[in-house]
Amino acid sequence: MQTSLLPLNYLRADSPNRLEGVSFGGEVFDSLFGKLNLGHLVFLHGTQRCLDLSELLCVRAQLALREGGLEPKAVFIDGGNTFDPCLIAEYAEQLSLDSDKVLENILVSRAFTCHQLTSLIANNLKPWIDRLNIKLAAISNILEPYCDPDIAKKQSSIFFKVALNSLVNTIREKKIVAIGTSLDDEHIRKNSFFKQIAYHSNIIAKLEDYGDSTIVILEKHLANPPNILLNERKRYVPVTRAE
Amino acid sequence: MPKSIASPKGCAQSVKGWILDLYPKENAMVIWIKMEKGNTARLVDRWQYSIYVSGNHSDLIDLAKQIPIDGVALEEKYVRPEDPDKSMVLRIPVSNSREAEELAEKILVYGGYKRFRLYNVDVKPNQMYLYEKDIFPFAFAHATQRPDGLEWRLLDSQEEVEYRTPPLKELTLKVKAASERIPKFTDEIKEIDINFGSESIRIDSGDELDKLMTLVKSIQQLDPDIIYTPNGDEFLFPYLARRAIENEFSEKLVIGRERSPLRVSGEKGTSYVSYGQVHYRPLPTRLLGRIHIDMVNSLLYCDCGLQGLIEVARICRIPVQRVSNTTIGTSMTSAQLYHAVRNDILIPWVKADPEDLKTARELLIADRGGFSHEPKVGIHDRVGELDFTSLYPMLMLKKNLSAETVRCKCCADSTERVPELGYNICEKRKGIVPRSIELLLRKRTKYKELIREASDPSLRLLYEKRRSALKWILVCAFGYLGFKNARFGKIDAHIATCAFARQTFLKATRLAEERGFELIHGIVDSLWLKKRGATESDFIELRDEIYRETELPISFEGVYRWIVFLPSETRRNLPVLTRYYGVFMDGRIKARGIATRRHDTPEVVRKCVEEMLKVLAKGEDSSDFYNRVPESIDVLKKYVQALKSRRIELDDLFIERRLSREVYEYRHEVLQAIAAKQLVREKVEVRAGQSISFIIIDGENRFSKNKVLATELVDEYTPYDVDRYLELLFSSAATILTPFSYTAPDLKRAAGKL
Repeated sequence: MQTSLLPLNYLRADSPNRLEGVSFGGEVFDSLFGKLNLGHLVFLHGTQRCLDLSELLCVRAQLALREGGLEPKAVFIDGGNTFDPCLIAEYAEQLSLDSDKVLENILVSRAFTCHQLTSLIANNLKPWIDRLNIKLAAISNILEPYCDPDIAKKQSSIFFKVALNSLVNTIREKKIVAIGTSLDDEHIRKNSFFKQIAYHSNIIAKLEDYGDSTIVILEKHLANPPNILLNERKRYVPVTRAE
Repeated sequence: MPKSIASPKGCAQSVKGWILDLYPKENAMVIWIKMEKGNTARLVDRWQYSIYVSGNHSDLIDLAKQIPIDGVALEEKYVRPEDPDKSMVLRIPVSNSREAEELAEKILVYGGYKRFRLYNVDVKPNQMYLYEKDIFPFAFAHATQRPDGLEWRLLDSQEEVEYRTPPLKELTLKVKAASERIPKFTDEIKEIDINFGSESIRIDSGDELDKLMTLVKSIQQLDPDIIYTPNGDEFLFPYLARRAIENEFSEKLVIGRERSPLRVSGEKGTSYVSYGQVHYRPLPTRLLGRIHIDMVNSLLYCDCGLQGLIEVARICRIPVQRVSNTTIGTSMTSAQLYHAVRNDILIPWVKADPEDLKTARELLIADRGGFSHEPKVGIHDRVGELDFTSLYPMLMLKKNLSAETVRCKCCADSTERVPELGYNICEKRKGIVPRSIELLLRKRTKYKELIREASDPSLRLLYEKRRSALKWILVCAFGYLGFKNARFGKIDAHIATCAFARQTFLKATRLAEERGFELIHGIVDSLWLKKRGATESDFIELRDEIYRETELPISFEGVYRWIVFLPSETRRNLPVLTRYYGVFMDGRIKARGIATRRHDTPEVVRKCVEEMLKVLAKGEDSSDFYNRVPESIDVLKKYVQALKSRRIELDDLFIERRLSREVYEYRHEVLQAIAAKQLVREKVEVRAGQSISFIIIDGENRFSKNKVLATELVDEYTPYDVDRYLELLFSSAATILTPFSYTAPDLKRAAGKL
């Protein structure tokens, strides 16, 4: 890849002139996404690997600025009770970070209903950012709680709007990177929530598993790097979760 | 005719009896009383329930102006159970549940989903009436009509364990459709059977309309308090209602005591997930003034009978009919709601308070569940078992673990701390959860004593049913602490309970080891211990010491002559925590996780494994056990022969499996999906969570539809796949003999030598 072909706001993680942001690290991701800039919303959907990547990003956010990190703390809003601290420790070790320190620097809160998730995003996120110097927020299963059949559709769609608008405003106002994930499911894809979050996202990628490897398909990138084609498929071998 | 004191004129009227049923009607509550002489009274109490709104004071005033309802007023209530002071909230009287939800939705929209929070919206009005009046179903009470409504005086107590129940008139209703195979709503009624004590009535003459008319007349004449049906929620009542529509009789199909006809709801039942399994609950048919119990779909009734239902209704303050057709969690929640209402705490409509923020490191330590100590695979002699009694609910009660007490804001310096995590526990107030389980735990202990003392078998059975019902509620109480929709649950309280349980378990293990016992296996609240030469009294002394040290009740289950801990079927070197069988010194067999305990085991396999265990149970110790293995294999051979010669009854071959998804969502042709599709083709409605029963007719058939046959379609000529059933038999038998180097192919070879 020729770095010179990239626009100013699309820079490789290792570029000395990059803007402040965080990267996934690794050739596949850096070549696809570049740096995830502050103020951007990234939406990953597909397999379980989305969740793993959002955890990876929480760890990488703690790297030094020159290493593609953000240095401060990260918050993980867990909408699907999927957060895996063991995977965090594993990522930390791979990046030669002190896993205890990394685990201390990632703050977690689980939401089990769409009302709780809305409350976390709309009421708690902003104060946490101010109080704890957070630069990255990961929200796992961001759509799933709103598709709960026990909740009236009308109500869940309004709560989703409240949460999404609040998230987008917080990202822009507080200049943080936010990554939302959702497992691909027929019901979820058909839902208008998917379209709404896709509309507000700066980067969208889909992940598909093929045996031991995963394919990343870049579906949207607002920076629109000229040498990257949308819907290009790139393969990588993920770190798997402990059984 | 029921006595009615609905409209008092002048002097007060009063009625004494048991509260049988109650339901809201036109801004009033209708209550049916069963009197001592067996007759019933219908009482009407002018009463309206209210929803509450919290928010900024000026917003509430603004909202009050927008609501054109009489009785809207500001009141002081605790908005959250942890609040130190009451807050000003808006009370809005409503006529019924539907109006409450519609109004609540409008208020949320009006407030932009941010300004207002809603409370008491989805609490059933009849339950709210019970909480507010401080009465309970099947309570013996005295009701007096006063100008301002009914005045209640309880002549009974929830605490009572030897309470009287009313003289109930019970009948069983069965309806047969004129169908060849699977009954459908379009089939005409063939006959209706009413069993009433020793008497029975068969309605099979005249046309369909005549049958329906006779049914209604018979019900009115017999005037039962309880109507039992087989599958009444799913088929019988919806079927009768549809047939009534066909015969233009729907307005006269009155089965309850109230003169309102039986209706068919257009809604379907619900599929829901509980502990990772999908279940299905049909839409319940509620009779007004009588109690309908669906003998097939009421899990609590199946397990604990009517006495269990009554016990739960009394203790949780929820009508018997609702207990019978709802989840145990709903009943348990009702007990919590009562305590909230009595303490002026509002019940949130939606649970919006999330988990407290914690570091990933904290989560790693916190979210670990119960303690487990892997067993050593194989047979062990003279192992003793100690079980903590209701460990988790006991900890919740003794340690005051509830959503509002764990990490409360008011007691940051509390001396009460959660082990490993250091979370503070409130010292100023008792939590709603501990309050709601206190009585259950106390009564369960009392029933245990009564069971031990009772010489009359029928009385013992009665206490056992009641105790068993309470056990279900207590089991659920812990799970609900972490349940997403639990009103007064919170994951931090769930985590805290697990931390205390682990601490307790480790303490017990340490005490046992100090006395020279070896921990063979341990899981959550049970310990299996061994010590060379230990007698029963050594175990009892240990139990007493653990009780003294932990202050938690613990029972000694007995000493096993031998016990076998089994490995994983796929990884033979790994033990499975909940897969074992053994025999106590008194000959009782205890087995977990094997074919005899699985719901999808066909009877033929269950019977075979049970018989094999009985043979092995004669072994006095492990060496005697080994000697009996060949004899147990002879049992297997007997069943193999019976299968091969097709001497097994079809009933013993049915396999029942639950649908984990809707039929159309199955991508693979698993056996239960094939059977379900056959039912769908027969126009039977099948939903996720329902159990499907089938027989394997040709497991190797290249067309999946020919592999199995749904039980409903089976007739006397249906063949069965001998080889497939033999495979099931060998694999189940091999499971119990795995530690002794027997595999399914080994057993197959052994059986082949016959």
